[in-house]
Amino acid sequence: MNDSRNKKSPNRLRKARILVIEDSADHLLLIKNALQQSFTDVEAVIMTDEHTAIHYLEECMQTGLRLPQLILLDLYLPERENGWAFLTKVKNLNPEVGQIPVVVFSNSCNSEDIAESYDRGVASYVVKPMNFTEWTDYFQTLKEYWWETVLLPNTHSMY
Amino acid sequence: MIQEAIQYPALIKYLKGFSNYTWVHYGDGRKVLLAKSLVFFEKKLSGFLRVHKTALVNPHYIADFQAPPGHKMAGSVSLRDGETLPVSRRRWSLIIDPLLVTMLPSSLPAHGEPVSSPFVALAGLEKKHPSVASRRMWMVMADELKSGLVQQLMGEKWSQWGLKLFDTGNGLQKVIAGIGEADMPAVIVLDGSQPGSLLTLQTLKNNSRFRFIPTILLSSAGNYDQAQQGYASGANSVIVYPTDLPRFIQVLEKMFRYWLSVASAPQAGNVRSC
Repeated sequence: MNDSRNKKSPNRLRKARILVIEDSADHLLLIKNALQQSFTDVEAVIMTDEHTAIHYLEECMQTGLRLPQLILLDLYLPERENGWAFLTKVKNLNPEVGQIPVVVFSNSCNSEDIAESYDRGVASYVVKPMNFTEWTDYFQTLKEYWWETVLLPNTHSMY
Repeated sequence: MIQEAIQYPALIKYLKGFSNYTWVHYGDGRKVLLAKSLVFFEKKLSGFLRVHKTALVNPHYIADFQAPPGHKMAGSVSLRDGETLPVSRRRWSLIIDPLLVTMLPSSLPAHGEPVSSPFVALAGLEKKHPSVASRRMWMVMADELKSGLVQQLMGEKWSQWGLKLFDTGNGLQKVIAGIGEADMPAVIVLDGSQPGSLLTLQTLKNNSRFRFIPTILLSSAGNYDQAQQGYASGANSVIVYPTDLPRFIQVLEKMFRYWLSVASAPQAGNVRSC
């Protein structure tokens, strides 16, 4: 699990895993399509509500299954309280899970939703693009940033 | 080879023509000789100023101009690092003089405020929209050469964003403590090569007024502990600081594209429409 974060490792992308939490079937289709084009070596785990997502992360911790390196969270599941409840739980699971960057990916461009999400500890907030063709661009930028530019947290050695 | 040499114009300080060859001088002191005339580069590097038959200058590196002191004498341009290049009399009256005349005192930077060379604005390279620049990035960057690159890249591709540069994290903390909600930066970037950077990060993230501002730590290469502590202290991202300049620009571009074009930053008066 350690070496997947090693920048020099050619397996960096192949071993990568992203957790997607999205309740809309339409958006899920768009996300899957965009992931297929941009995140070719990234395995996507898809959950449609916050409870199963938390359950999945707990299972990872218990069984030693590799944790995702990034979490893409729809905020309104269907209410924003659902998204925030997930965030609070994730941050309190354990330090390793708590540091996985959570990127909110939401339809809402309400400045209150944005500010409050950051205040609650999301790594970043991205408003879903309006235009269908932009979805691929967005995911391309997401991948270039989180997988090719950022050094993702790896608290493995600390705990 | 030639394309590669001018791939990142921000890195180029000036070019010096030498019959059918051109020396490309970079900001970091490197230089390469290429088998093309200066005219070729003048066409490719549109924002650069042709100050002399033999010299093409990146305005970002210009510190000052000196008018021709007398009749048949040349003027000169001094660069930030102290180097000077000649400005031919004809080009002075054609290019430089008109630029300087239009330069009003109000267009000069306020004292103590770190901004790019005033001559960049003169050359029409940076379109300033002070009324629209409601979104601001604040960045701590100790290295002068690198902060110059940040200014250039932002001016070229994200000119709708305002940029405020600080030498130290302490300087940023002092200014942010004294401003109101409406003037808050939308994104903060800290320079991990500075000793106090983690402390600045913790101070920001432990303060309920500032913790919502996305804060990115540029961590010194090889300092893995610092990167991990950055996340533990609440950094929204940690990026390893590349030492070579072309790679530094690539990283900046990816960071800017993500944070300034794709991600939504929290801000009072966020004008992004639904």
